[in-house]
Parts: sequence; C-alpha cells; structure tokens
Amino acid sequence: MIEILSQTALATVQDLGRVGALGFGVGTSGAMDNLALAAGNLLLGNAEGDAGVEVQVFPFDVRFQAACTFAVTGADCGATLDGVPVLPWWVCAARAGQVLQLRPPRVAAWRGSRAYLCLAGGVDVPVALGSRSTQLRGAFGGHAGRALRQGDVLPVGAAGAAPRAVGFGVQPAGLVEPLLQDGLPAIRVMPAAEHDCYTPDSRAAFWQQPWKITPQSDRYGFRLAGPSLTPTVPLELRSHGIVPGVIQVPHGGQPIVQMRDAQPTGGYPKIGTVIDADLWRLGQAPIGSQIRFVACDWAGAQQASAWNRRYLDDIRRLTALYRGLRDRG
Amino acid sequence: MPFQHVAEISAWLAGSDITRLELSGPEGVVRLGQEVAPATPASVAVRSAGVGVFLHRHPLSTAAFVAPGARVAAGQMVGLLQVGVLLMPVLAPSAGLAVGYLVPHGQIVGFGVAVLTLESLPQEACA
Repeated sequence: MIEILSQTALATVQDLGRVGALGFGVGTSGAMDNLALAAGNLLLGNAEGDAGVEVQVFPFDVRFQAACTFAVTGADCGATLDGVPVLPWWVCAARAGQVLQLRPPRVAAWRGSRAYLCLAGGVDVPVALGSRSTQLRGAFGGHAGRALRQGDVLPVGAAGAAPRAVGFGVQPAGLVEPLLQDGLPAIRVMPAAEHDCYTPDSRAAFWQQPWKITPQSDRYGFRLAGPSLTPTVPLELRSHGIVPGVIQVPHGGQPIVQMRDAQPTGGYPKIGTVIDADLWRLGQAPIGSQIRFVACDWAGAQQASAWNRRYLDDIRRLTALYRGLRDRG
Repeated sequence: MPFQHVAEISAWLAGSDITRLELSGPEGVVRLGQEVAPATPASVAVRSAGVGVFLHRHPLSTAAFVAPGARVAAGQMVGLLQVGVLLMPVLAPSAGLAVGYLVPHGQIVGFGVAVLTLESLPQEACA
C-alpha cells in the first residue's frame, strides 16, 4: 500500500487504457506516455498493462506503507527515497515507512513532463469496463473515479513470490529513438478527412511551422498556438466519432489535439491525426514548449508502432534474462 | 641557522615527497630527512562484469557517478554497463578513493576490463 502525502493535483491511476468502450461513449483514458508505463511495468516483472500512478504536478510525495519494489519512469523528476537520490527508469526497493519524493521534471537529454510511479504487482484498484484507468469525465475507474488526494491509500497487487532483483534499469524511449525536426520534438501525423479543405498557406504552415503547447492543455486535449489555419470555405460538420490523436481546428483556427481523456465524439473539422505510436511523445511535451508536425502515411504509422513494440519486447526479454541471472546468483 | 624553525620545516617536509633537506648557514648546517613512504597505496580496479557499453553517467544525467578524488563505498555504483536498452550497475568491489575512469564514456568494453581505479583509503580513514 502506498499513501499519498502531498496536496497533489491531477495525479491519477492509469493503465494502458480502456479500449473497446468507445461504442458506449466511454473514452479510452490510459497513460499519456504509455511506453513509460509499460516499460516501468516490464522492469518490475509486472504485466505490461498493470496500473501505475501518472504524476503531472510536482512535487509529489508518497509513503510506502509496506516494503515494495518500484520504478519511476517517464520524465526525470529527480526522485529521492528518504532523501537519497534514486535513478529514473530504474528498479528500486523501498522499505516500509520510506518516503518517495518526485520533484519538477529536469531538463535532461530528453525532456518530459509526466512521471509514472510503477509498483511491483501494480496498483490494485478494481477493474471497470476492462481497465483500471481513471475515467475523469465519467467519474469511475482508477481510485474512486477521481484524481488522487492527500491521504489516499492505494492498494498494491501481490508481486511474484520469487525474489526480485533490484538495481538495474532501461534506456528511456525518448533517448533510444529521438525524433526531431529543425531541433524541435517531432510528432508524426497522418492527414485527416478535412486536411484538403484548408488553404494551401494554412496547410503549409501546419506542416512547416512550430506549434506551442498552451497552458490550456491537459489529459483531455492539447490546445496549440501557431499560425491561424483557415478553411477555403466555412466548414460545418455533424458530430462524429473521434479518437485520441485527432487534431481538430475550431473556428479560431488554432488546433486542438485530442488526448487520452478525449470525449468520443466531436464536430470540428480534422486536419490531421497524431499516429497512435507517437501520442506518448506529445503527451510528454511540456506546456510552453514547441513541437513540429511531420507528415506520415499508413505504412510509416505501422512502422512506428512496430518500433514501439520492439522497444518493449527488448525490455521484456533483456530484463527477464538479467533478473534470472541475478535471482540465481 | 634559527633552530626554532626546525619543527615548522619538519612539518612541511612531512607533507611533501622530499626525503632529505640540507640547510647550511653561518651558524651551522641542518640536515632533515624522512623515511620513504611505504610504496604507493594499494589500488584496486573496478572491472566490467560483462560485455557492453560502459557509461560514466546515467543517460538522463549530466553528472558522472563518481568524480576523481571522490570517496567510494564498497558496493557503490560507479558506472553502468549498457546492453541494448538494458542498463546494469557497475559496482565498486571495495571502498576507496576514485582515481579516474580508465575508459571513455560510451566505449564498448569486454568482460573483466578495468574501468575505474580505486586507491585504498589511507590507514587512518579505515579506523
């Protein structure tokens, strides 16, 4: 069990998302950086989709009420355990009573904005509609269907009985496969249904200008600031199904990227869709930072997904080998 | 020769590598000497436990695990061995003072390659 000590905001229990419920009008939720959560779980010998705590406002402090093996992945937030620094993306052991503190993310070789506290055995909240992710809009799932508060106690699932090696880690995905365009983090996007309804200037600007993540950006959507995007003729659409990654353009001409907590329908025109494999990259982009969109086709999107899969498979294989060697030795 | 300075000069000598000092003046000659220190302190090499890329620092960090001259505890992490995406600790076999890394950050090393020299701690520090 872990106890939330800080007067935290917006930290939620997340797994890899509630897929298959869009038909009921239920969005997917899930970790903004699914690779970091999955990597943390694999490091600990968990199932890839076990639940962890997504932290996006710092500082964030928790107390381990029982001994627990854990890993902090995602943004490097200078974590300390009872004041002693612990490495990011690293398997650590906490004794009962120890306090883990996460600080605002550091500007590192790779800069993120969200950290994941992964626990051996996973955060053991009830499964709702096939997922442990917090559904903030519907106020269910996760811990009591809401963001965590000071004093909340989260149950931890039973970790495997075998001894668990600690003191090793993995490379963050953002370092293994950096993606930059003109020095800015790049996000791969497929043109969407209304892409060709925008003026040539607008389309050129969309692909060639930097986009700033505004403070009006959260788990629901990222509002971007940049050149104004103008359709050749005014567009009016009926509401239709949308998914995380869809880039809508409201009348103001400033795009909104739907994120993990997006509602399942919308009526704004869509200029593009962030490929599923790159949603984690956008999810880690800090407010105030700039990104670039780069065009991608279906084959490119599939290759990107295959790379993500390979990265996680490598972690699973290598950590299993290493853990086996250590546990025997 | 002002003999009242002998104690002071002796103290300076003790902190140096000088084994013999002779001062001559109108009042006489002073010869000071000290035993040669018992060899250089024993040093221990930290060795790679496998084949991989040796890292002085965590990939997300800008600071090396140990700086030259830093005191290292037995079992302390002094580097990483990277194999693919896996990062394994390189641990000091015993306590000592870090002299310096023997291979550059990011170099591929083989099994048993010395990656860092540790100088044994001075006797008084072990007490």
